[in-house]
Amino acid sequence: MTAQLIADALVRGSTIALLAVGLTLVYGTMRFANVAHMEFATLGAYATVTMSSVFIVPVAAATGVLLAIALGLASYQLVFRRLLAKGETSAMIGSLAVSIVVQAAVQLCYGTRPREIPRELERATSILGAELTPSQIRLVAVSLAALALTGALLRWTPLGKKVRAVAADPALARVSGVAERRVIAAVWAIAAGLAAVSGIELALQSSATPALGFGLLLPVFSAAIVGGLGSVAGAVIASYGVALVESIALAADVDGVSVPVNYRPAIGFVFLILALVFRPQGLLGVRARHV
Amino acid sequence: MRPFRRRFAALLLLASLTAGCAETKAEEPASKNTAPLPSPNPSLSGTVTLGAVLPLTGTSATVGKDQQRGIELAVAKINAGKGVLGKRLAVAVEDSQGQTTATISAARKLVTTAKVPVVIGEYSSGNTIPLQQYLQQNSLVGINVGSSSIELRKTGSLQFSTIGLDDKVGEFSANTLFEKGYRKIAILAPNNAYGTGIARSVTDVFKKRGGGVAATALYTEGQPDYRQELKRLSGAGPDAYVVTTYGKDGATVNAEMFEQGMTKKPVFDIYMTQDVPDSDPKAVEGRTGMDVKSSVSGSDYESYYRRTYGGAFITSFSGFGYDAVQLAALAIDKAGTTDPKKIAAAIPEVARGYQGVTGPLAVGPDGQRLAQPYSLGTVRSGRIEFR
Repeated sequence: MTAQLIADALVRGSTIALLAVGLTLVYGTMRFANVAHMEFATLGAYATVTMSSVFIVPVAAATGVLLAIALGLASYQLVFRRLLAKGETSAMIGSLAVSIVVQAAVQLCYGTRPREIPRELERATSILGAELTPSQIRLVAVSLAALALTGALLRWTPLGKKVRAVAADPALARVSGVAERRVIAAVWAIAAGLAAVSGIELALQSSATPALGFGLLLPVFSAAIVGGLGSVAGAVIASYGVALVESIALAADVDGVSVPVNYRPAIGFVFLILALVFRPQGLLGVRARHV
Repeated sequence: MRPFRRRFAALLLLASLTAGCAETKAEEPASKNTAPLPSPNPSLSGTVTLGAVLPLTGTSATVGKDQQRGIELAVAKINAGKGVLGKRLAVAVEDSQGQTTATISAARKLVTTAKVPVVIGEYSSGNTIPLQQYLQQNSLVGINVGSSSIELRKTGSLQFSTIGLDDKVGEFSANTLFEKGYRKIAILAPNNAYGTGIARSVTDVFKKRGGGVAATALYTEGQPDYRQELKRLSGAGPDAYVVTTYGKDGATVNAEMFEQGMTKKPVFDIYMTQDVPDSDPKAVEGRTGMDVKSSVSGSDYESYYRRTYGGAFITSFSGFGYDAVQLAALAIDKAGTTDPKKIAAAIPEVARGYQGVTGPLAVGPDGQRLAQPYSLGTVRSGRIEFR
């Protein structure tokens, strides 16, 4: 039972973490909570659906990620850069509008019918007492690898140092010779790429729908806020935390009374409210002192 | 931003969208007509137009397109004969997208623009109930061709169904399960008027017979996965799983049941043509279930359908569309007018003793079908074989 709960949390948390890290990275460098961030997952998934009719799935997925990155950069240059010039609040409201437009465009192009990436059905196998399908194991492995790669890039590369410099103080970074716009473009590329990986993984588990990414809005925002907006490590820990809380709450059965599964999004939200009440600065954040 | 970069960014967006749209068009199933529809009778002049609101896109598009085929076949048959009131019959079909808001918008368009006296549709009870309520408010006749919630009994005096409601489905399914020797079942159904109605009626009858329901999970449609719901069912250790799902959601549920090893136990599928055609054959192989009888092969309607579309029934729902058009046409002829109230008054009269392709169509005082024949089926080599 415990092993299964952990396995479920690993699978669910892996998809949330990829999105939450991107969201928190963009927030960290631009102080902007991008609601449309979830749409990169949807776009990556649909791009892979399209490409899978031409290429084998791994190549189609790689193309899907590249296309999502290109769309991420294009949307920043064409839309968000201008919105941000008017302020973070305008940009956030604008990002909600962009999210709705993207969903409508996807629906217009692909219809409302879910679309599948070709895959072979595989039976679940027992690993340390937990039932996992080979595709779920691949999902966790790919997510952890992508998260580790992102962590390493931010921690040990010159680009990572510049990202951290812009996140800490954009003005100081600028006068120190950091090309802020290039750093921001790199952050958008990383965020869109990670989101696309998450969307492709989700579509490979079931199918791509126009609301694929938007459906994860609540748990992803919960994870990013609980982790402390701007904190990558916090977002990762909180993502797996939100997923574990969801799994425990849904598995709990007290005298035949249990939480209906369709309340799953609400669990992440309750988690968020509790975190805001008891630790508003986030898991790894530091409480600001007002004098 | 330099003009080149701006143009490049715009080009990227445009190229991606174009690629997606182009690919979608390629995915549209090609028409496989093998025989033309019967030619219309040249002596007919003028047109009587009815309306239909069907899920032509969205998760239930497979069923919606099959309903449309039934309507198309009935219209061709009527027009090859004496038509309606000596005029050609036409049915204006609008897409509900499987969504309530779009259903009502489509109905509004039919009512205000085409000014139809009768609207046929939809498929999901969650859409058909508000559709019929809307039609009743506008004093128009509605004929349900795919929904089975018992709430449809209350939609109004101008509203009818050519499909039997959940109480009949539940009774048939629960009795079949009990007679197969199962004593502990677990039920999976969508969390809407249809799903809760089926789950309740199966539970009531199964318990009355002496069986037990170990777990019931109602799933929210359109989710990327249903593993939590399925785990709740498998954790209850039933003798058999009872599932009723539709469209692509059903395909996801079926794939996940296979992956979780749940298909090693018996699975009984209520309305199996709703989800089996969309599912991976490996996931549903050997599954038993039930459906309405129009899917049974060998009838004149089945050969008419096969001849026209070059294949067997995709779902069981084309027959209800066919019967609805025939019933409406007979009622209009009987009433001698397209006045909705007079058509509604004529429907019970013409339905009494009328044998539709889905069985006897007689309706009770609530406008609902009195008898609905069902069949048991098994999936073999990816196809449903009905007994």
